[in-house]
Amino acid sequence: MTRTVPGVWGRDIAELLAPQGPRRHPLDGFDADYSDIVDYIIRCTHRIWEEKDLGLIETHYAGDCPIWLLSGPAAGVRGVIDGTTRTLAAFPDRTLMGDAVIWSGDADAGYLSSHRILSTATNLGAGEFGPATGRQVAFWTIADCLCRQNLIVEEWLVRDNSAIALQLGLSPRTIAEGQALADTPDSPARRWWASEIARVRATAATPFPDAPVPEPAQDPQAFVHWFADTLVTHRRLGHIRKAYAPAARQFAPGGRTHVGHGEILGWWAAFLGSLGGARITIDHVAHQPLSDDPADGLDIALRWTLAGTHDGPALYGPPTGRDALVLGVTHWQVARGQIVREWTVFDEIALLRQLAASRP
Amino acid sequence: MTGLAEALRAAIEDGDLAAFGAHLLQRARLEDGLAQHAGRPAILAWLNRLAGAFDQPRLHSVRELDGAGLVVVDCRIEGHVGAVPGFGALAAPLLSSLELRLWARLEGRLAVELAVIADWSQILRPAGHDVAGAAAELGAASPCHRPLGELASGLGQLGTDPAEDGWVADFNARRPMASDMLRQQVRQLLTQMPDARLLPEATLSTGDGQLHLLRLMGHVNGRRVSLPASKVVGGEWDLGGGEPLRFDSLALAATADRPFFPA
Repeated sequence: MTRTVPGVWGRDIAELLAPQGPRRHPLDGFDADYSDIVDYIIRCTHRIWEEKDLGLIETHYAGDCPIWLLSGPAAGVRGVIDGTTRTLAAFPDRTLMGDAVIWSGDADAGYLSSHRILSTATNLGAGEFGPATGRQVAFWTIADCLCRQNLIVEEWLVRDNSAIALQLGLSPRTIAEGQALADTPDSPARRWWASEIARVRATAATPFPDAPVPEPAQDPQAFVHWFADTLVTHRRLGHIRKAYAPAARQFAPGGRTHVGHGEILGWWAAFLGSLGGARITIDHVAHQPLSDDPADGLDIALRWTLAGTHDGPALYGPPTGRDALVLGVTHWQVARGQIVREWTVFDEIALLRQLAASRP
Repeated sequence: MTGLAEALRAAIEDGDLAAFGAHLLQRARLEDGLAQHAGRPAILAWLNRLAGAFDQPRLHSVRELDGAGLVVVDCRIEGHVGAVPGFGALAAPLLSSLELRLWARLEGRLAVELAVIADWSQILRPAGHDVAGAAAELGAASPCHRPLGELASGLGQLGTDPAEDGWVADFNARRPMASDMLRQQVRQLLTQMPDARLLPEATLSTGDGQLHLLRLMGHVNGRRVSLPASKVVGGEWDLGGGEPLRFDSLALAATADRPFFPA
């Protein structure tokens, strides 16, 4: 069955940026040359970032658009333009290759896109990572955007900043500690971390899960919640062998690539082992078929928030006892009932900054 | 046939990189030993460096197989080599050959993930180059994360998975290999990496045989080895005597010298 809105799968950039023809989505209030929400995301990203028309941010972001980043929330068009300009100064040749756009919603409620981006860039200018190094980097970003009438009205942005730092020859921890020196007890970031941690910890406990694995193609929402409850909340990590294909590939923060159950389970164990008592909320789920052929499988996007106590040394250094928050987005490609590819993206530098924060 | 083999030939012999690029998505990624190349431009640059090592390179024994969203191209590149990319000049230009096997996972008709299995020690060693030194240099320039997790998930004391079968199961269970050549190769591999394990990633039928894409995993000097590997088992692609397990032995040797990323 031909999908109404084709995704990115199998389509090269020349095809994606060519005029897409008549509208495939109701897009009231959107610029006339956008055909559907995938086209809007791919095309405006290219225009703003690669064609360097940063001013288009004014016509593509709501004036008071909140941007949720683990490093601290931001708001407003000016902040987006300034941040984009600074990043371009540091990485002027940055490419943003759309690897997937997993969308949900409609014209009334708004379209929520989860845009997975593979970027390459050369560090030719000074920026948030320090002086220019001249090195080339490649990293994953996922941008979740709520879009109405040509405007992004809310955004959640996760970028693998620790991968960038490591490829630049830098220490993510050192960068985080430098950032933490500027934090004050009542900074917007610290207040938001505290409120989010409280929100996550207030979610009701669940009973011991012993239900069969939901078939992800039939009920992606159920599969996502089964994963979060069974593996993450209740630490039934052996169920990774049910959830993932034997040679599944996981792209994890820090530019890590893991292959197979052993390594993937190892990463989840290390992550959860670093943040004791970790609780997770699933804040949004979207899913789309990969292609017109059901046998190719499904794209699933889940945005999540995790709160725990840094009481283990596995990934983030000697235990500090501090509360920690993670805003993350995970994308799964699912086929034959199992995850075959996973991208989990969150900002480890922002996490390390929380652990380095000075006590009030 | 997808035409990928012909495109590879055109790129290497004629310098027509665009012909190969036309088979890639812009966001394609290529794994070659310890290196990862992201995006079509980076992959074409890698291919140019590969071809550029040879004076008037020619491809021989070119074969292509496709199915189940995968394409495999197998070939031998021959030509005089004066310098090997990343390892410097040879003592003197040498007529050399490099066996190359390229696996590509497709989205539709375009490649999105590629794995190259090529072992430059095939050229460095006959040229009298310091292979151990070359491996150490490669490793030192390739920092890595500390290993996470176990090699064989959830087996514990069982050690081997009773559900595994075939040649890979024989290797993982340390059962004897069918030929002297394979026995010798496995013995050398297990000496270098005693906990070596193969993880099947994909299999294509060659008619009356199988072509496997595998992942060679284990630990060397406390560093995790995770390298693409490949093997033909029987059938028309097996040139007689049994094909050895193909992997980048230089990358394996280099792993021991990889520094860890800062904690």
